[in-house]
Amino acid sequence: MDATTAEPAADTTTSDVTATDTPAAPVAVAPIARTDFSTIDDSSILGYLHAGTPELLDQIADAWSGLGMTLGERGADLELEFRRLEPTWTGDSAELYAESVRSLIEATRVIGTMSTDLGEVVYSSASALAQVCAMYPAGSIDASVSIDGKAS
Amino acid sequence: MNGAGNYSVQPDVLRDFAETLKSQAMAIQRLQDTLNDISGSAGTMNLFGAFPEAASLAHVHLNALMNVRKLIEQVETLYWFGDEVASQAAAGYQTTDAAGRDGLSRFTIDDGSLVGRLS
Repeated sequence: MDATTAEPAADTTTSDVTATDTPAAPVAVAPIARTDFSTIDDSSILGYLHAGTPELLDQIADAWSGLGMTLGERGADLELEFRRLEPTWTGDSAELYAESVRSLIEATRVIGTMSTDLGEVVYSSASALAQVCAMYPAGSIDASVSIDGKAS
Repeated sequence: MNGAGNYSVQPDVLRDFAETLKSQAMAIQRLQDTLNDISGSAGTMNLFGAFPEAASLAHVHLNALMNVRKLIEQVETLYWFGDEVASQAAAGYQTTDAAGRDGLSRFTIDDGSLVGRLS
């Protein structure tokens, strides 16, 4: 990892949300690494590339998308059920419970959106990884020639 | 019944709501288990390749899983709390305590959040 620098992450996909927190509060995310590929030999790059598993990434993307859809549906159901409950329960505990339920509904919405977005990111990553792996199959690179065709 | 210090509740409606929460927790848990099974079997950090950038993506994936875990815990807490209140109310729990407070105030609420614990 010597050939990397770090920049602050702009990604807020991982909002840290619970029913008792502010729903959109971003969680600290590890800085996004930036590799200086000019300092890494081509056979190592090939090894890094083929360590990935695009077919599993597709399954993970499917699962995140499914979760996003489920949370969207369940959040809407919960909101409807809560509208039925709210007028039937009054008192101090009811007010605090209602506050927590409202936060939960919002958290469900935010995490549902996060899941859907993450599914898209993972789909894109899987597609890119599969494409580059197909362009450069394992063992396809002559260690004496760089990817841009120049002799090293 | 609805004045300060009193409460009113329809146990059946509250129990239905709690069951909705329980069902939601189970549905989310199943999907989270699927995600854990897939990513856990392959060693998450190299899923996107062994580049440092790929590790950052893997961290995003893991952080998101943690957020889902927290959501499930909160749903379970609210289910438990609602179910308890419904049971107590159905059993004829007093509408006010001796000090004239909401008779359900003994359900502990810490730091502004429900913690699902009976005192």
